[in-house]
Amino acid sequence: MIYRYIYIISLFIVTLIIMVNTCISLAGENANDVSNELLSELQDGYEFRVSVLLYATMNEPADSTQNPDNDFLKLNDYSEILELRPDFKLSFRDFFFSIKPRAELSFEQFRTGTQKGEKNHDNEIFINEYLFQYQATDKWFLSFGREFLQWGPSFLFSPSNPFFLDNGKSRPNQEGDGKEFAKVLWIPDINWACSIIVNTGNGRSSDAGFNKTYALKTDYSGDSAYASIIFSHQEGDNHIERIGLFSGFTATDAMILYGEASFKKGSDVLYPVADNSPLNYSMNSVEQDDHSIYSSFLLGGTYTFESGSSMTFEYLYNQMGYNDKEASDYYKLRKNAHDAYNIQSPIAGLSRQTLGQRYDNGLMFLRQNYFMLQYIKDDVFDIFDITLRWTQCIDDKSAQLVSLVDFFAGDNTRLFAQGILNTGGHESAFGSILDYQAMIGIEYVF
Amino acid sequence: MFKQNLKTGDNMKYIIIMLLFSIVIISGLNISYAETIKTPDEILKIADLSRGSGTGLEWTIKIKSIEGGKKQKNTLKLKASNFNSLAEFLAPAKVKGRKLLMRDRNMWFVKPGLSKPVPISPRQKLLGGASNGDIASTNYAGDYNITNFSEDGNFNNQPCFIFDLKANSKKITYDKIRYWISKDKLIGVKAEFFTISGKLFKTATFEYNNKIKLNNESRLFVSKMIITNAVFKNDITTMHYSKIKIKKIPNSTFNINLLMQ
Repeated sequence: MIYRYIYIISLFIVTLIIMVNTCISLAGENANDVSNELLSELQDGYEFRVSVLLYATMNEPADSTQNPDNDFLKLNDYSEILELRPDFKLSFRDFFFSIKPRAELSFEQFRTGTQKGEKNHDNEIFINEYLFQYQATDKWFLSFGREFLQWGPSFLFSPSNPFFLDNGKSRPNQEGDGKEFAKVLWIPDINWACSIIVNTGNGRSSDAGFNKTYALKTDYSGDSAYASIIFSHQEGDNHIERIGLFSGFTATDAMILYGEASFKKGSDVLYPVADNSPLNYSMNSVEQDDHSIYSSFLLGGTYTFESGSSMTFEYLYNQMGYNDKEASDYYKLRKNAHDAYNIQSPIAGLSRQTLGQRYDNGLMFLRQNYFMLQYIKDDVFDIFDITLRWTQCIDDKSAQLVSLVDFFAGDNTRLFAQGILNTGGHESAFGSILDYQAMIGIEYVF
Repeated sequence: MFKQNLKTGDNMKYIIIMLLFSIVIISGLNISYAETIKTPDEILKIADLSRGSGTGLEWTIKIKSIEGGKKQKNTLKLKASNFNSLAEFLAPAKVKGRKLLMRDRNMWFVKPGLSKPVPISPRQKLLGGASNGDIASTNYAGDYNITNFSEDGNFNNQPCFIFDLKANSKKITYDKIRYWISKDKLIGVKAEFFTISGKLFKTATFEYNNKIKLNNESRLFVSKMIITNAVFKNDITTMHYSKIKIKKIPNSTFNINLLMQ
């Protein structure tokens, strides 16, 4: 059965590659003099890259009140995933087209919790990203597609981006899920650009409750500095309006400094509120009708040493995150929900709902103050790239250590290992979901 | 007989006049040619034409580098205009799809799998021993002031002009350059690159086996640059330039909004 899936997925990708390449080759053979030029143009504009990834992950789910006996989040203990990631691009005159179909085969195994002993497998074929772009003039570009649209210089979090909470930096070997965007880009000169961006669909994103978002983004790039401002409006009950900003500066040959910020009217984040409900607290977006301005800002810098290695520092202030009182109430509510989780009564349903709200409370970072220190050293012994990232929650002293190692075996093969270690206990910003995670994998590209 | 003598005398006169006239014309031509190239600025400008001259340029570069015994090979397609360039890595497979965008001193790097461009500092080396200034087109006449000029140079048995150049802006890759330009071909054949403190840190030699059409004239164009580290003599970077197109590169090429495509 499993071999059948591998066979089908491989066949799909190989067929796709062969079809596209054969079409171009056949066209070449049958081309007459008139179409030779056209064909040469097509061949020049066509590119593809295929990556085959196989990786295994081991998780140690945290025994926390967020995930009673791992029954709520159902995190697997072991998983193996085979991914085929071909990227196709065609640039022809004023048109550009790209597509990133994906095929994924996954196995998972549970050794703890209520699913102990279970083994599952799944397969999926999907299009993660695609883009149609028309260049109307040298200065105007119109496009529609499914993209994981990211910008800004920061690693930890991109507060200036109204479309995605996660910027994908914490999962370097996994791809972000694309959403649908329509865009108009105007580049009046070398220093300036202006774009209108409409998020028209949720694409492959699992974000709940999609609402259309409109953004106007203006970018400036000068001799040693750049800056952007993004005004956005999200439809829906809350009508979220926000201003995003980011800027960077090449201070010296070795040092870059940068910042990102957002200012948002009102908040759609869920906060714990004491009430007379069976769990004594509820999760409510109490700030919804509040017209106060909530801000997030991030300041960072990277220094590159003579050896080529680099050190990055980032500080994040997240005003919408929980303060000490809110965090204390949050953990109390979670404890109450946890205790009621397995009771055979309607409270259990409420408990599950509450844990769901707690897990998806609209916050990328639970608390208000964080810093990150990242060290990158490439070409260690000529074959290793190493990244070490330490993220500290200043408010509750919990931390996350991420280590990434890439080993290049020849021109086409990369072996990689990734480790995540969370500290600070199970009632902390980093310790609620996983104690640790280890991943090893191999990638072959052609 | 007299007539014939007279005729012979006329012919002689005619020949002498023509000879003198030709000498004057040739001398005049020589003088005007020498005048056009006599100015060091002019010589530098002409030499720049064979290395891109700061105008829009698209070319493919094969870089082979040996640094500290480590061998590296990259092939990249480069689009450059003034202080902006976009390098797209074509080979080997492990670097295929990587891009390096340089907008003046702002630099971004992307590679497949990255969710967004990463800002990097100019110090970050991604091209072996080659610097931004080596892969982009050359505009020494515009970017440097001539601090010294000599006509007594020689390189590989060819007489050369020698220029001492000082960068006229902080954003130029090299602060000081000593540059050898062949007197015969008016092409740069050797360069020495110095740090701000005046220390020699790189030497480069150039070959010109490419030809391009510029203003309807065929012109020699740089085909190879060999850079040798002044301290670690075994650190050598060789760049082969091919598929050269001199053309206007649109501003959108250097716009970060289009970099992830």
